[in-house]
Amino acid sequence: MNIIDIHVHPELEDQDYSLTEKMIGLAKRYGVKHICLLGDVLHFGYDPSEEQIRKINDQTIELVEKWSDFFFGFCFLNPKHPEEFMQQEAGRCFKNKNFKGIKLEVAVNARNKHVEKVMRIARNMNIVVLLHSWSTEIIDNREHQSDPEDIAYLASHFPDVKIIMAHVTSARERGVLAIKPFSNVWVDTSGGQPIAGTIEYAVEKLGSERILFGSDAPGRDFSAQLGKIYGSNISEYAKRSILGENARKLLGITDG
Amino acid sequence: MPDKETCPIFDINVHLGCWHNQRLPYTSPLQLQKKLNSLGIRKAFVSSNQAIFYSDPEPGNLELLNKVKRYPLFVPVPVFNPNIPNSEEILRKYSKLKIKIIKLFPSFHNYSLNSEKIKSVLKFCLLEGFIILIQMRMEDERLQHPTLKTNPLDIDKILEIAEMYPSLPIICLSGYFNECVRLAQNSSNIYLDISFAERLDTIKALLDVIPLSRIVFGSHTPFFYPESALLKVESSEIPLCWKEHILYKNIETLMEER
Repeated sequence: MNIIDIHVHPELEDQDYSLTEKMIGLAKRYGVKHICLLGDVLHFGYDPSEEQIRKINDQTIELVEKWSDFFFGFCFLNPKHPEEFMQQEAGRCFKNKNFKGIKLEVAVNARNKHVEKVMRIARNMNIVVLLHSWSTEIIDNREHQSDPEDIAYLASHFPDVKIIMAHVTSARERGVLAIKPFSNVWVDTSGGQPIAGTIEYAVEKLGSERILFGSDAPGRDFSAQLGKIYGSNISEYAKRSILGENARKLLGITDG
Repeated sequence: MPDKETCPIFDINVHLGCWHNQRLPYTSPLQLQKKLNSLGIRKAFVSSNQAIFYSDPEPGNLELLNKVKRYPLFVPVPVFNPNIPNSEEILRKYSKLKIKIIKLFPSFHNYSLNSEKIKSVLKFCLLEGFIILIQMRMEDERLQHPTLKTNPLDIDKILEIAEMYPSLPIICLSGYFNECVRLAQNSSNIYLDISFAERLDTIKALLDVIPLSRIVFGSHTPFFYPESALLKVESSEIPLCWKEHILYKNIETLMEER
């Protein structure tokens, strides 16, 4: 099976590529054909400067160019920056054909007005936006963290922009229900513990076509994260869709 | 992966029953046995979810015992609350019945691991040759029910009791990677399961910093997909005989020593 991992973070400190090479080796051992690199998004904290954003994207560009047959890239942006800067940064990243989307982390909540600038850029460039999401019922901090309900709000205002909501494990049942009405939202399976029943519920409510495999490596292990999919009580078709086919269709990946 | 026929898997971290915050699969012993057997698990140390919440856990433990006695896979592990008035009597009963393993839930039963009460319990357990399981958590703290929260355990207090009773084997269940490393590196008698520990190439990363003899297989089924814990071991590029130690030999050795 040719797996696509939609959610991996390189580390800026990995100057000699040892971590990157280790990740590639491990991923291939599990049949992972491609990885989407989202950038070392928390290296400079919640609210990176323009210069810091450039550094993070520089690394993603470099790795995507160096391993062009294996990596795809997402352009990391801070929605608080001016629209002009974000357009330039997206343009810089998307000069490489292996860039597939924009990544947002926790600078602001998804309902924040600043996010609209990013969504306009994504709409104009016809690219997907992958947003971090985590239920704030326990962790609070909704100024920065986005609940699935916040992602749903954003999706309702930009129905023509395709959105990937990260971390379905944290969304749990309520989060899945929140984004269910919005066909422009996909979820990824990355991160969190391998909580039984999560994948089955998401498939039941969203259909397997709206779910994408992600690991959140290197903080997480490909093994434990793949175990969620292999261990779930869903059809082989659904597993194939989640592990690669859906990402291929969504991101327009034609090989493998 | 070791041959399922020649390498049995012993799972130290298994639960039976319902849970308030998760629609668990495999809530009957038959379903649970079928699932675990299908993965090559030949011995499952199981405790009762209900017993955790009963004022006196013992009826919950007996319910579990009655439910699983027809199923050879299961080794029932009593939930033990040192705060109940007849805790010493319960321990004496277990000892007579040759039940030499108990599971503590300090976060749920609201006691400190360095209290005088727990010290006397541990002293008894040491003299009678018990193994202590400490359930460090049942859920990721970030995903608990908002009105039913428990706090993570104080690692220093676990280390304190381990140092106080260096011959008492303590198996800590459901610790995060960094907790496992700290517990193993600062004690000689603490063992760790792999259910919550996660890092790129988890098993190799653990073995880089802690001895093989201290890692045991635990899946936290049915809360987690057991395939995740199994894949951690299966996919690890370590010698086959090391995998066998993690999958069953380390637990077997501990049990044989009792």
